[in-house]
Amino acid sequence: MDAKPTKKEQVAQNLRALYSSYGYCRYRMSNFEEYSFYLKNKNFLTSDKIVTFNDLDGRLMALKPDVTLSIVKTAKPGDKLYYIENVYRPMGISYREIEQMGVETVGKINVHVEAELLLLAAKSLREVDENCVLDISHVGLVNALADKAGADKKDLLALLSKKNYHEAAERYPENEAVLKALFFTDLSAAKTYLTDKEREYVDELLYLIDFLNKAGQKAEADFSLVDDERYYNGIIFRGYVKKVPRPILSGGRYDRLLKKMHKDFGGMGFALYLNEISLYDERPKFDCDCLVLYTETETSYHAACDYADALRAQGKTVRLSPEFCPDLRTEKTVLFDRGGKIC
Amino acid sequence: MLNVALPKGRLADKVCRALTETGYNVAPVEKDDRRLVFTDGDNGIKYFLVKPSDVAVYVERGAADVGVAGKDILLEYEPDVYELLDLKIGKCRLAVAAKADFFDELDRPLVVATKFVNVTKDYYAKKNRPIEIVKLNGSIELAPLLGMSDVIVDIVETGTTLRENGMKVYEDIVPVSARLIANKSSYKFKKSAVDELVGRLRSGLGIQ
Repeated sequence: MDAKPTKKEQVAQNLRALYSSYGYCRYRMSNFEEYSFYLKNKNFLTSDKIVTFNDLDGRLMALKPDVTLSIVKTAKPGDKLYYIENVYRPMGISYREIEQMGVETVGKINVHVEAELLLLAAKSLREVDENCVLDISHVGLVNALADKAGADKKDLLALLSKKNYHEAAERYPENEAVLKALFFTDLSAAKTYLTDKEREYVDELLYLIDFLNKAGQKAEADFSLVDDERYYNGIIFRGYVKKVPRPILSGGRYDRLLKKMHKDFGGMGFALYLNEISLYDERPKFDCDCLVLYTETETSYHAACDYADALRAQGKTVRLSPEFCPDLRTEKTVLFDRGGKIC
Repeated sequence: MLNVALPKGRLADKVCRALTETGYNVAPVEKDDRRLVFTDGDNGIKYFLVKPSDVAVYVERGAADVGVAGKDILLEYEPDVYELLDLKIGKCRLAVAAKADFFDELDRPLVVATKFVNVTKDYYAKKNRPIEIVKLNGSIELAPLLGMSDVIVDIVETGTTLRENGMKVYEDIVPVSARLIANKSSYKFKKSAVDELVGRLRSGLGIQ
């Protein structure tokens, strides 16, 4: 077993350097916020289930389920921030601590700001795995198309998020062509159903994908990404890497969240789920490469020390001990006798 | 290599027939031995045989790239997967059934025996009808016969079991059939293999 850093540690270190090189500043926050703050914005969160407790003064507090909300609460236009924080969310039947790394940019958001943020997202994915893909959609565009399909929008978007075209076509047969454009992410067909203003969404999406592809990043349009339009208003995206069965990165433009907080500027950001990267680490077979045992003489001890140091210099992990360690799983165990010889 | 989770049991036979008709080699799967993993090297597919209710778990967690699961299971567990195709096989329905002399007393909660707890809760919440759920894992029909529940919510295929036990369907909840599901991440990286499977099944089964 090598004592080298885990993939997660390497990625976190490289991304800190990457975000700093683009002028993003580190943001740190407390583990707790008042529960009422999350309650007001619960639809922005991935779940409304939050770990709560009473503080010593009786206030109902929450273990933070999200970082973006806290950042934008106090953010000023022009802020570019990155963070590494733990959030607490339900997964399956219990709460889990999730390590997140992310960036947020608030203020004036034009297409160049969007392009930079998407480039950082794509580069973040590549830090994890070269074999990655960034899916991009546009909330305004998808909602405009969904409106034109003449369907129950909530129902249609739920089907879209599952690429469930067969049920959508069965339930809303009157607008098959619009549904096809929506479910099979056909950008040129989509344009034919949109107003001039809405066509700008398609151009924005095409520009950003072209920008990323020219920068050597793999990015594709996928309308099946669906987010709450009460908070998100423009570009949204998800990142996937080969070994992880879930999206490892998620982000988007959330001007509407800021508006809800009475702030008259835009915002965009993403989070990378660092926990998922552990799938890239080799599974250790041993707790320690070598256990070096010595007997109670100075000669034995010094010979054992020299032996252990030589192994450590080769990058091996070595435990030196005067007694056998029954629970330690090692590749090799070496015992030095009273005369300093290996027995 | 595309990893495909298939449900064991009755549905497996129908799915295997569909796959064979579309040019996939599932002969080893159909052989009744105790192996759980089979490889079709020519088509680059590895099949796993798993419990029908577990197919969605294998696919959601990425152990299988695609799988065949009943719509009932997808409605109950709501896995975060793509639902790419209605295979239109294994057709049945989720329904409310009760003894032939059942009378719904509206002044008390309805006692419902089922293994589909979430579907049942949703269905009666939409009807604004208070209920009490008795969670069972099999032989659901027994519950009203022994007075343990007023009604059941369960899969009904032909209705024979119900009839033989003096019961009948009172309300249909939703039609059910087998669906081809895919892991969201796998679909990004194995899109051509998944799309080929979808295309071949679509044409082989005559699905529009």
